[in-house]
Amino acid sequence: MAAISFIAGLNPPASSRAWCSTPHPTLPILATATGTSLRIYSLNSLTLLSTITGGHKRSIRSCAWKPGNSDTATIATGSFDASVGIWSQDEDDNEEWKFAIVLDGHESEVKSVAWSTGGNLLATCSRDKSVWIWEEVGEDDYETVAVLQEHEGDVKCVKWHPEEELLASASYDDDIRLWREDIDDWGCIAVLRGHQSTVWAIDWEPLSGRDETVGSRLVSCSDDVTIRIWKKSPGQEERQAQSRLSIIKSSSAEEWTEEAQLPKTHVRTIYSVAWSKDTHRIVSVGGDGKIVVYAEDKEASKQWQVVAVHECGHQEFEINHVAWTRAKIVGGSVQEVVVTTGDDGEVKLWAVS
Amino acid sequence: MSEILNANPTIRSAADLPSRRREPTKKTKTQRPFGLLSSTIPDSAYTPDPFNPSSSPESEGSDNDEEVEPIDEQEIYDLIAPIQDPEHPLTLGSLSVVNLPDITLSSTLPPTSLSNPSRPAITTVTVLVTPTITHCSLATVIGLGVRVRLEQALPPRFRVDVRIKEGTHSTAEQVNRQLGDKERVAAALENGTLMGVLRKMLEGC
Amino acid sequence: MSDVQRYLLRVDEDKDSAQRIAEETAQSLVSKTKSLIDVVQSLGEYINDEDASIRSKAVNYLSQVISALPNTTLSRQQVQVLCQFLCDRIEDGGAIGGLRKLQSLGRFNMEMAIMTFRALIEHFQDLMIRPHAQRLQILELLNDLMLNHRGSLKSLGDGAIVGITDLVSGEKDPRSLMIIFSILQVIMVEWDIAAKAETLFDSAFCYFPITFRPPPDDPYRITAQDLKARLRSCISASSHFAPFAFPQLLEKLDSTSPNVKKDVLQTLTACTTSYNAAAVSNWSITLWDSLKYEILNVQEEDLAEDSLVTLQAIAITLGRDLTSTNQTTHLARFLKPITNECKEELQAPQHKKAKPAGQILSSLASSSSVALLLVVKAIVPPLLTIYQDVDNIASQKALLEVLVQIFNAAVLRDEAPGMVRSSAEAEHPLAPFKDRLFEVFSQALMSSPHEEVTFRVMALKGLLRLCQVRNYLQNSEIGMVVQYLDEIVLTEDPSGREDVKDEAIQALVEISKSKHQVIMDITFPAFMANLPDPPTKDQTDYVVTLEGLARLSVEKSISDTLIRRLLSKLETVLQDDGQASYTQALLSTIDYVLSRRDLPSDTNLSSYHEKIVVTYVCKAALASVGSGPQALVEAATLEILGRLIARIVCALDEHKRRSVAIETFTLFTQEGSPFIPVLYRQDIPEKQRRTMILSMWILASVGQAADALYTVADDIDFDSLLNELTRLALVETAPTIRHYILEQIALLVNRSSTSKGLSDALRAMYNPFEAAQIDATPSIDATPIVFWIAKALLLRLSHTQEVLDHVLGRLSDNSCGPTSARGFGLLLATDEIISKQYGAKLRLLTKQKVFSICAPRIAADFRAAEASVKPNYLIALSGILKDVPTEVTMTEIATLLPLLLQSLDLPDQEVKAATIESLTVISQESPGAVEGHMSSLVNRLLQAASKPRENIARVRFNALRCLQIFPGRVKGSVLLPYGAGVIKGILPVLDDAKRHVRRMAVECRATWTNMDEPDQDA
Repeated sequence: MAAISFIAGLNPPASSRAWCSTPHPTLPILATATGTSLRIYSLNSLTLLSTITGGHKRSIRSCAWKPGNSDTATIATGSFDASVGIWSQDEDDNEEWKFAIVLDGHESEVKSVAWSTGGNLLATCSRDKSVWIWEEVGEDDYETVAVLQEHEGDVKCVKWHPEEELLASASYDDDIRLWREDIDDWGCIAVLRGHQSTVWAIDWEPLSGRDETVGSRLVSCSDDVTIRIWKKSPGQEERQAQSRLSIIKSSSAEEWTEEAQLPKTHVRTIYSVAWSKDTHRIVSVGGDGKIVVYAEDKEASKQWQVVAVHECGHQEFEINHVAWTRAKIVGGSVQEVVVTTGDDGEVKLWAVS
Repeated sequence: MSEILNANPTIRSAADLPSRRREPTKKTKTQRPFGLLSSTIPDSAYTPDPFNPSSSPESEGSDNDEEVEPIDEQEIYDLIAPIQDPEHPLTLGSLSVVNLPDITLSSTLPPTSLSNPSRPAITTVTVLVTPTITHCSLATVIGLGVRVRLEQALPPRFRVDVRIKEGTHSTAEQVNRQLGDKERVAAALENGTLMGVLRKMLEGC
Repeated sequence: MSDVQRYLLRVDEDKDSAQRIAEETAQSLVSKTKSLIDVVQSLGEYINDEDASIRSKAVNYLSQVISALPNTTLSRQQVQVLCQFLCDRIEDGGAIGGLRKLQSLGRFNMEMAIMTFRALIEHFQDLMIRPHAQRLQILELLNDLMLNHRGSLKSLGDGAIVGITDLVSGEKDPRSLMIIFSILQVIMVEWDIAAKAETLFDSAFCYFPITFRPPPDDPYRITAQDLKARLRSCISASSHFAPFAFPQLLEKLDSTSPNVKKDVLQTLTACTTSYNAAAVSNWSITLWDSLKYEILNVQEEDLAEDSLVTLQAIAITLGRDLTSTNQTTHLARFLKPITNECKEELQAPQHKKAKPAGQILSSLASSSSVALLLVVKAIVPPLLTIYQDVDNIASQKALLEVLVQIFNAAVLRDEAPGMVRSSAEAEHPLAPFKDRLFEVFSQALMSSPHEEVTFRVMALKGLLRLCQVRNYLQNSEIGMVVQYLDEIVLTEDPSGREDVKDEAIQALVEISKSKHQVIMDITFPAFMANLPDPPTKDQTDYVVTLEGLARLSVEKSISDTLIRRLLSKLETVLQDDGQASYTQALLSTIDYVLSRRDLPSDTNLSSYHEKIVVTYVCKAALASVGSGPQALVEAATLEILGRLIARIVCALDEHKRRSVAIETFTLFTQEGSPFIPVLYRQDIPEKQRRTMILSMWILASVGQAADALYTVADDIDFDSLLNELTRLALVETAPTIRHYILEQIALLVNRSSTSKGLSDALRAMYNPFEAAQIDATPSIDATPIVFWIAKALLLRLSHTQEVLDHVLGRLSDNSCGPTSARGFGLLLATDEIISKQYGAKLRLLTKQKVFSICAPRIAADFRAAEASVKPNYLIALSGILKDVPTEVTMTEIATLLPLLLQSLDLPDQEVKAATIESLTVISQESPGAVEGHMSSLVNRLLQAASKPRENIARVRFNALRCLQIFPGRVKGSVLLPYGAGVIKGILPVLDDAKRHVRRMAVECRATWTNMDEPDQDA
């Protein structure tokens, strides 16, 4: 049984609930959404670098860093005020953040934002049951590429496939949908049914260490207190090519099935789940304040077991978000850490032995 | 005049609502020995002797600090019964929308466990709401009012589950789903008009 | 140049000088230097000038001249001519002033009045477009005519009415409206308006509803309420208006604004009260149909109540001096649909509409005796049948509540003046249902489960009302009710909720007021029989019986009997030396009963003196030396006996009190009896020393007559008595006895009538051991004596400065400092003994004086004091502050606040709790004072609230209450930076071990959260 040990909390913590913390893909910084502002922390000094405020009239629910190697960081924020903000760091003074552009379109609270791997596409979803895809067409200029409205309820989370231009979305209507661009417009190519209640979060299996033949799998967590792994049914390649030619847009060109359910550990809603690039392990957090790490049993693949549990990571408060990242903790070597964000406004780093 | 959804609900008088029975208070000097008969003795006769306050009844009377009064169902009931119905100048208690038997406390995380003895216990409060009429569209607002009141009044170690009582409402399932969604509740609280309604409902508490 | 020319030149720039010119002309007319005709002729050319403004100024000049003339100068003929002249030129507006003057003259006859009135009416169009000031003058002229020449105008009949209604339309200014309404009301009430009722009504109703908001500095101070009241009296002035008033008012009842609805309802009530029955009856049903909605679907409490008042007004008008009870009268036809609808609502007694239905029935039933009969006949039978089939208690209770409301109406009818109970139906409306009602209510009370408290209380109230309805129940039936009540009081176990017992005793007291003989015959013996002779050890229910007896003995004959019986019971109990607590209960009951009587003028006073004061003091004295019931020498018994004696002695006359004073220390024991007074004796057993409690009460109650003490024996003079008592206090070990000795010392010092006495007291205060001639031993603490003497002197403001210097000086002393600090809590505290009642010398300004000296001194000494003694000053300050009114503390708030804040860091819980209470009051009284210290105050209060290990519940509770009052009082800008911190800081207190602390934490946090949320956009 491995152990989850507390490394440090980023300070000063926020004074009230924090929804999520997104580490930057390359730079040692992390953004935490709390209230109507974003708090940018340094993962080296574990202290607050700057706070971005004034952009949104209501709380920010989700934020995502734009991939790409430009030295100035750019971040997108989705807020309850139904708008999406895009901010970028001032070239000369890294403390300052410029407010680049507001993407208006959603009719109600925006729940999640995600950049595609190349950084040119931005997916957003909202309680108005729609998923929007925006494309950057120029300097701080974005165009709506698709408005996808097949979900029957509030869309909670969107995530891009680590490699292909394939988008996954999880919803209040208990379903997960996959979207691809078919010739010139986007459509739903798969509906993953199985969860009994709201699906709160999803994450793709990272490229490293996956089974080539099957392609990346998907993990999802839900209010039905289960965590499920999904994979594409084999023998799909040919049919998929053939379908592209048919004039009728095939409704679900792909067939995805539930491969496994992770051992039951949580006792209340599971809000967030993340699949680690380095160790290929999965971590989940939820309303019961537990942090749970699972690992896949190498020989009998598709068999998962719990490798570590930590109760009351944020004292008696609920934990809203979890993510893996790599950080060089003060003095030590760069190692993989878990970042949790809770209702107590704290952002905590954990090491998993 | 907007048509009132339920013009004639049944009312329970305040005196009949469940309340905490007056525990037999330990008799202290400040209690008058013979009740009414010693009402002729003015209060100044009972002021503690300033020279030895420790002997004064005040400090060792009803105030001993060790005795812990746990949060129980009655206290939860006392927090939500005075909430005002959005439609009538009446409380949820008098309309029997909330009732003591429909409130349950259950331990989600037992207080002590091996791995981390000092860690706090987590308790779940489940409140079943009985709308006055089966298709009442206000059930969601009433449920939200109950949840917001309990989340503001109870310590963070409590988890609040508010649900519509089975068989009492046509769309109970959707209402329960909404009331259980922490994110939608948080978003609703940032909506000015809804907060206005909720604040009016909670004024009486 | 003629006067008029000069006037015309001046009038535009300078009104006053123009006025003076007109007055000069008037003077010349009086002195006959000019004649009226000259003046009129001088106007010649200007009066007919084609420029209207010239014409009107000329006429205005004439008016001003006329107004300036004394009343008697103009002859009748001249008045006639001038009146005609002005009437012909009325449309220019200038003439009004002159006409107002003319009409006030004695010689202004009816014919001129009519001429003026006609001129006004004919030119009302061009008069109406005059500027506001002139229009007001026109209305005032009309008002004058109405006042002085009403008859002549009235003779014009309908023409006058129409004319006036034209004149008064379309006004806005409140002053004009007030005049208009009073004119209209006169017409409406006194003239025959049948033909013109509608026009007249419309001219008033067009102003309804009044939505006037007076300007801030309104010189005329006319309020919306004044306008509404006057308009209301117009609308309700005559029954002729009914066909127009009711429909139009009802239409306005649908308005969405509560104020308009309230105005409509109150106007409807005025109309239904003043119109005659016939007019009201045509509309009674339509009125019911709209009022019904307001009453039954209670949206706004007060609108429902107003509608109920209107409904009752209809019933009162229809029932006024009506005697026939058959179904064809207006009243019956009005009540029929209502009682039916209420019957319908009461089918579902638990529903929201049942209660208002009950209120409707009872308010209508109390409108007149015929109405009572009709309602009872229509409602009681169905109610009884519904009561039969309905199964659950809650519904039954709702039905009983309606019946009780109807009984209330019946009792009200009994008390109503001129209760017209025509002989035809001698029998009471409720008579036919008596047995059934009696059975239902008795059963509800006596055989329903005990936990159904509100149900049984309702039944009890019903039975009480039935007993109160005049000659309805026979004495035997009332007797049965009384027996039920006795049974509840005496036998039901006290652990149940107290309400039913209290209501039962209250009901017995009510019944004793009208039927005290029944109480004497049934309740009294039952209660007395229930008093145990020697109660078993743990039996304490006799207290409830005694309490019942005490509350019942309101009426003199009953309380006399009670006292006699209690004294004899006391006698038997003391014989076999029963439990002390039972003796104490009996003595307390006697004291309570006597406290309810005017003892000084009581015929039995001297017998009480003999039987209680002399007998029992002597008994107690002998018991203290062992020969007598030991129950009497318990400290608690002596305290109660002492108070009883004091109550009687205070009522005695001066002469009697002197004789009692002499017995103060011998306690009425004769020579040779085993008891020897405590004074001047060493090491006396505690039981005997306890008799000092009695001697204190005697000393107190004899008042100034205590001086007689010093005439008894030569060794008892003030100084020796003071020193002896000081010695006794120093050596006394039992706290209660020491307390009573200290009270004796303070009383003697405070009441001493000689300056020598005061200086003796000072000496004893400075050094109690020397006064007591015993050597100072560390084990004895003399501080209490110092402070009791200080208190006695300060209350009469004698030697104030020396006393305060001494006690303040003690604070810096390491040994007696801490106890002295506590002593300050005694100085200004109210004391039962040192009070007006016992002849103490009290000065009104004591608190201000002591505070004004102590506060700055404590603040200064505190700063200079070393750390070890600093807490003494804070404790002393908190002791003083608790008894000083806040407006006095406010004067020194700037100096005291820093000290109070530092007191919050003291470990002492009493001081901390008291200090927070003072800070709460200060923050309420003047939030400005604390704004400067907000950061340290909020932090300390949060610490006090959230650390249960260091603060007792009372401190935590007080801290939260103090935090809660800031929002709303202290400026938002000052509080905003602390908002988030407080809300987070209080979070852990939501989990406090004590329920009442958690409750306050919830409320405090809600107040700060609501303050914190500015109104977000939608």
